[in-house]
Amino acid sequence: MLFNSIEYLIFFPIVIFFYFLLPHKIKWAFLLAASYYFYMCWKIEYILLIIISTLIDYYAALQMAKHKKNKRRRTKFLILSLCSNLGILFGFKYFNFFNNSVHDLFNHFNIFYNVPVFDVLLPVGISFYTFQTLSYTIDVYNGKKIPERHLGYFALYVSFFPQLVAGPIERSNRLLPQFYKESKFNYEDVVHGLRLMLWGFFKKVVIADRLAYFVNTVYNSPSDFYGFQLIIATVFFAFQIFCDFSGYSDIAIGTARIMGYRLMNNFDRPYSSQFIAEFWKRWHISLSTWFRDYLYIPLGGNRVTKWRWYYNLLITFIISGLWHGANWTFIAWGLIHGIYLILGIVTDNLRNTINKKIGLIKFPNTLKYWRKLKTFSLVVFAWIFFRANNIDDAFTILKNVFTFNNESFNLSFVNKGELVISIVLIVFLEMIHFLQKDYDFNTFMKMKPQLMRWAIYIFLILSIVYIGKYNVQDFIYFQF
Amino acid sequence: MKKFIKRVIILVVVIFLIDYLFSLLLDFGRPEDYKAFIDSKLSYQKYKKETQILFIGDSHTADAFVPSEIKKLTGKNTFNYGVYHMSPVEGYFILQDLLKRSKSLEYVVLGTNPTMFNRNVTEGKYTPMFIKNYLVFLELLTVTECKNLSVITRSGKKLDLFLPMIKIFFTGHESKTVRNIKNIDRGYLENVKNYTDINDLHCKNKIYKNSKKVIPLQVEYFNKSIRLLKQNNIMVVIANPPINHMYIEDIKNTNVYKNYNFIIDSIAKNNNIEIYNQNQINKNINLINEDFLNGEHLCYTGALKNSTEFAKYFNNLFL
Repeated sequence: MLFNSIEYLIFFPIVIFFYFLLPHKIKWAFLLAASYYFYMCWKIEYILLIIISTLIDYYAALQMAKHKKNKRRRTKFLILSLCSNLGILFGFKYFNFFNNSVHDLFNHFNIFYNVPVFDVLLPVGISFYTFQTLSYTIDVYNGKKIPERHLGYFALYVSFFPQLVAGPIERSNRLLPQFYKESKFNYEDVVHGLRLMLWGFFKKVVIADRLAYFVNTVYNSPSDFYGFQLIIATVFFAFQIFCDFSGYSDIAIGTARIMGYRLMNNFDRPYSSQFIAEFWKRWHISLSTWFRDYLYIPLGGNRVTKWRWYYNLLITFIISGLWHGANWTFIAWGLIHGIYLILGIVTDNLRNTINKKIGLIKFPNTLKYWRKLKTFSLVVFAWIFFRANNIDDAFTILKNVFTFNNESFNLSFVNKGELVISIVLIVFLEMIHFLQKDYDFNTFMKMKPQLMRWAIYIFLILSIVYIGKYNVQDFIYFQF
Repeated sequence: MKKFIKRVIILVVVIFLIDYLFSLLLDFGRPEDYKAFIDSKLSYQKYKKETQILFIGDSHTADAFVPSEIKKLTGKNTFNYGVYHMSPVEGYFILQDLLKRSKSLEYVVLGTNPTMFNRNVTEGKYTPMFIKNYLVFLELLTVTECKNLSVITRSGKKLDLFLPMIKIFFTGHESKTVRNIKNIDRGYLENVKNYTDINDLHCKNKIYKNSKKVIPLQVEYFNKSIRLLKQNNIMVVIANPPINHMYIEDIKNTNVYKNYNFIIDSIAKNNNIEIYNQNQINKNINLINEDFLNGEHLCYTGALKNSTEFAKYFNNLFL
């Protein structure tokens, strides 16, 4: 079930209505049933994967707690959890990719290789709920979390519908205790949640799905486009993916908040970052902190030799890229970001010296905007690999993007009115981000006088209704 | 909870009010003939209790049948509910809506257009403005997999008037009218303007060249309209309004036209319905080029000739 569908518009108020009506004791069962139904609307049989993951991790965690003084046994159960979760993830998401890659490699050396392709549909949200349950078992293994004994609550933690298919990837320490707290109708929470949902829907339906048409046209036949056409399509994609994914996160956080649950913030105006490292503190925060805590730091983080540090960074970002999809384009995207970070560290002193020498350091605002522009450009460049349908397309785009001729400025393939609306919407979005300063959207809205708040609500609602796009496009991050 | 509900109600009321005011503002963007078109169909409310013959179809039908002329010759109260751009799917829902409102109907004439089965299924450009019953409207949105949520609001149904409205406010110039309307006659617009260039009588519609596929849902809903009428004991006639002979020459060998004739003939045969067919020969009514607004639409003089002929045909068939 998509958030931007009629089904969800019916599902959501019914769930909320009964949620507040039911006594606290059985709320978890109702939410679990609603969450399973939410998932089964997409494909009934894949609910089994969630149930299998839930049962294995529930059992493994209890066993780890039981043998907390016996590291070997604990490790055995951790391996059980890791192998089963990552095994399912590999089987459904990565097997064909590795199989095809090995096939291509063998083919290259004229070696016969014939392992059949696993013809299966990728379970929606598998990467999200797998990582969520993995963080739980790793935390229990490390003694950071007492295992959950209530199977129902644990099952709900794995499958909580607002964040089940596209995050935020919640930590058990944050989410599980909230299920125990009795939540009643709270005006502040409901308004907060609805406000976020409204903002999320606006970003998804009005901005992201509008930009999608332009981006898809260009990226589905990249050899037909040049220069400015490709640049504008890639910049549009940067805003499309931001509005799409942060819109989803806002709807998810808002839905949970209405019921009294607080999910972690997933985006914090990432395109106003001055450095790539800062970008990763603001983009898909729940995933980047997951990789930081469960991969980067266990590898040694930055408390190792210089070269090992660079290696840790590269590995983390390559795996992060691979997490996004079984395609070389995502690996390339991760690799590029890893290289950006390493170059950032290596050239830090040099850049500071240059800034001092040319006097830019005396103009902090100019320096700030220069850095933002530079970071945004680097991020946009990397998006080429993320969005391209395959690695060949990505290189075609790289080749064509620097070709400027009469054709490269021709934007007649897109409706002029739509193009103007798209640009106006991007400016509007950035204006809101600028005005937000260091506050989140909700705090920013709360600080405004009531009349202005209402004017913004009405503007957002009417924009969604009047100029929203209703082709019911999947959220981009569903595929991960 | 009370505070929340109170505020939600206020917000909803304010939004409805803004939507209503905006819709009034958008009306400034209506060219004269557009205004006449909308008003003419909405006036059905006034005649719903007495209408006996109802014409339903798209612009071909809207421009081809003069209710007062048909009433004069048949004695039956007639209303022309031809809606520009309407497809068979939309036609079915308009019909359903009209049947819920009107109990006096005895005959329904289903007007056709050679491109009707090749049109993409949409919720329609104008149709949402005319359906009064909300359940019928929701069914239309569901069947057409509506991609435009705005049609559920008053202003959203006429958002295409936004740019003309802006133009009028800034320049004072109205958009060009397509028809010169002298009078409104029970859904029919008396258009006195005819073609300006002989080329207008030739086919310029790209659908004949580009569209090869018949859309099954359009055929299905045309059949459903017939079944709906029969269930309500209403006599049905299919009418192919006149098309200029030059236009016919241009399209007669296209797949679109051949498929259309084949489908219409089959439907008529299967349902035992008569076809009033004027789009192939025009032989009985002596239409001249000046009777046409363009190759596929009649102006008032042509519509009068066609209506006279239709009334004769109707009298022979039913009276």
